[in-house]
Amino acid sequence: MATITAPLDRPLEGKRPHINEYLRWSVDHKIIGVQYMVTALFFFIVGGALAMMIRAELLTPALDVAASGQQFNTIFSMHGTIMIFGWIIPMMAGFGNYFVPLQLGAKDMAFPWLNAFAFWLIPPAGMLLILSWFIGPIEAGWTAYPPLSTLFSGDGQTLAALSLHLLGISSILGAINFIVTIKNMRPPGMGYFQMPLFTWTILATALIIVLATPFLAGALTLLILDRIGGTKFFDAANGGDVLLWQNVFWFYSHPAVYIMVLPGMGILSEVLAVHSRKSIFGYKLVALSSLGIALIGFTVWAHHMFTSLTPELRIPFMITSMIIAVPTGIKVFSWLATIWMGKIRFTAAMLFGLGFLSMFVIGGISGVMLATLPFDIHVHDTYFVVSHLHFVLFGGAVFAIYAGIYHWFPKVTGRMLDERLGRLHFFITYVSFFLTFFPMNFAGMLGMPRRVAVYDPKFQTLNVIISIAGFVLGVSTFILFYNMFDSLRHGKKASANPWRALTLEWATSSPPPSTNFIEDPVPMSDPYGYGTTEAEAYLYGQEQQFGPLKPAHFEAALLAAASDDSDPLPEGAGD
Amino acid sequence: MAEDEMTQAENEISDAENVNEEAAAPVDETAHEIAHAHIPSDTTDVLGITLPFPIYTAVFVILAVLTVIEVVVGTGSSGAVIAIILAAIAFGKAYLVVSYYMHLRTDNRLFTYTLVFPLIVGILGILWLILVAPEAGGVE
Amino acid sequence: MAQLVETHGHTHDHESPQAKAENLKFAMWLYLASEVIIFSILIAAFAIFRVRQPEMVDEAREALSISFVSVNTFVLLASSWAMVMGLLAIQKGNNESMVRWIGLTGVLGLTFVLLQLVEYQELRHEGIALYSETAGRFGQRFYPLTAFHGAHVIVGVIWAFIVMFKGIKRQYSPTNYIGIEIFGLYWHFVDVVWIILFTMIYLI
Repeated sequence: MATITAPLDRPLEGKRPHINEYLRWSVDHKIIGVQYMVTALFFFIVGGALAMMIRAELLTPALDVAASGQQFNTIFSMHGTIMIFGWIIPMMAGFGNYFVPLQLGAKDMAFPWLNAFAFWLIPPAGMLLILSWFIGPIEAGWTAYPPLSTLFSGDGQTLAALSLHLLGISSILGAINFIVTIKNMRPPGMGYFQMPLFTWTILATALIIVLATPFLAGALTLLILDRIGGTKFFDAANGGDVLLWQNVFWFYSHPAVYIMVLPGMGILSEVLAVHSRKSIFGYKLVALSSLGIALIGFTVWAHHMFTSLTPELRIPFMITSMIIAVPTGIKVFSWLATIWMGKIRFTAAMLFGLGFLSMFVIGGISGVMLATLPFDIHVHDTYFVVSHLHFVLFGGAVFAIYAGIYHWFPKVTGRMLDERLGRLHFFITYVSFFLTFFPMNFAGMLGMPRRVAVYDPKFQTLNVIISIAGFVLGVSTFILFYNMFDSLRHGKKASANPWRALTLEWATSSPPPSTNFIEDPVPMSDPYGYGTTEAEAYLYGQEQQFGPLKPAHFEAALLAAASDDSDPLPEGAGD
Repeated sequence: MAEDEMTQAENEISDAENVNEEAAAPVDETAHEIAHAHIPSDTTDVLGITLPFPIYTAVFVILAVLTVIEVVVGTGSSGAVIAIILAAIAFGKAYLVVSYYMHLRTDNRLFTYTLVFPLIVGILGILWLILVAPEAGGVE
Repeated sequence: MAQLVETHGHTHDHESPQAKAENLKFAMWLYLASEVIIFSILIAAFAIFRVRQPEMVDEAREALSISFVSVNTFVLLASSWAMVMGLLAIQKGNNESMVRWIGLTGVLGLTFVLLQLVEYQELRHEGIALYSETAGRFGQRFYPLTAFHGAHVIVGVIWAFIVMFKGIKRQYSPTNYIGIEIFGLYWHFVDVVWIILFTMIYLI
């Protein structure tokens, strides 16, 4: 830890880039990371508004809010497509862009220009996607199954396919950049097994993207040809085969589920370890389980097609789908063991981390239930599936994103988020999330089909509960937005390392200078060695370099926590 | 048959390459930097005869010959055996290009994995799609 | 040799030209990895057809001219050879020779594209369209696959001429030829894809 000990004349303080920097071409990975995240948050609002429309329609069993069934189809198709391709994937790419080079102690990504190029494919793609709403209805859901997507949807489907093409190219280029960066730009002393776990999950995610996304590109090419070229790849009446689409689409889209969730798992590992002041339990297994998930993720696609597949092929996919619960289980137990007996600080980031942990387990369990063939055939295409995927993607990925925002906002902006608002945001989100998506399990088991605007009146009570909770969930998001806008100007100043974390993104000022580090940082041999004397010396050195670890109110408790002999920060003491 | 021919030629080439490697040993500092690129010499040794062109040209000649063999074998006759022979020749040609022209023989081993892994995924994907494709093509 | 490995292993400077060259090559291979997957879908679309409806392919093949395509294949193989000879030339420090070889690569690539267009024209006269009820479904499996490959060739031709002009401006040297090498990887990959496509579409 030699480098940290030399104090500089003045504390290093990066300045927040001017807003114009974010509006134009920039090759700085930190600018690009924020560009990704802000773009993604925009799509989050759009997708969220669509979700509110869905819930408003489903308040009553009759068709009232949407003008027609077609319009309702369009609403939920857009909701799914935007949330997945416009929100979660770019948001994770944003976190990756900002923090992977920082965690590696590097100045930038391996290919800064390519990085910027990959980002700038997203705005036109997003415009195409939104434009498709006005061109003609997309009625096939985000899965775009033919013949719905070929014979029944409007020209919007073609635009959406083109848009997904662009987004696919963007994420492949981004992923190549991540892989090369992680392989070649690690600092001396950081082997693969000294890397922070977030970087590990980004590596696994990038590998999936490079191998899986081209499948989607291939399928979309055929789909576009069918739509505008007059070919009949998916037209069963003319020698085509609808299963070709389903197979190739799920070749991509099942691994894509892990593209969305794996980085979230990485964020969770960071947040849980830092905020409970404990080393990651079973670091190597957690790191390797990411690769395990990536690999097994390629062998389970057909469980999405249990009802359309030849019966004798179902059982093998039921088995692989259950096997993939094993590496996921390794992670969950590691997280539990990590926070066990830790000095837990119930910061907003930690709360969302625990929220992820609890909700993702429910999503995982309903996933195993769905992998069970007889059960799946019963609840196939019902709200049970909707519940499952929202527990995984909202309770998993989005909660992780929230945790990441609360955890890293000080690093990006140099200001702390308001913890009290953060906790309020958490409690409202957590409760309303559960009340929105858990009752869907009952609706599904009772037989309410997904993707319908008109349903049997006996489901109305459940749907009213779901809708009201859904509205609360929608509104709760604005607490976060308000918090972010307000804290940008009025938040407490954040020091270089407000959480006293050991990973390298905290070994520079907040926000980091444009070169990231003034001198090459030296990584800890164990990035999660909280409570060790080595860690204490490291943090002490950091304090010498960057000044006291602001904000002050954390200081006493945190210093005590690091010195390993006091009580955890009492809840509420932060304010 | 054709495949044997190919592997034989290949072994000879790799022998020749080994010799060349020593011949092109680095001498000064700049050569040090680029020495891992394995620049082949201007001649090729095959069966003890020194041919007046580099290894790349030898590979090209082999590729051309294999293509002629392919066309001769492939036109007129068909059947499972022919198909397997043709596929083998095609993969042999691809192997030659990848290992000599794209330098996978001498480059970082990681690059080989980067090619082979998606190749396995892709081939398994193709086989699966053929397996589950419907027998007849719907309404004729 | 051992000494070489050692100096290489101790280089931690991410900014060195050597490290950057290595990064670029790795990135190119990763890109090619994703190309393998996307081509495999288009290949699958053809292969399914070949296996499940072989009589339609046999029928369509009567319209295809094997000798014509063989010549075209030869042209592409030759361009790949020219490419690698160009790389050899710059490694040996002969810039003029490199420019000539890469120029030849581009011209041969262009020839390939033009001949492919001629072939398309012929097929059109034979009645094989992208999709037509009468001529069977060969066209929809054949054109997208070959055209997608052809698009890659066109990109490669443009790239070849860019490399050539950079060569004329003497931007490469025996210690800095990574730009040519990266282009080479792309170009040979396109060649490899054609080797597979040629055998699969026209012969098997």
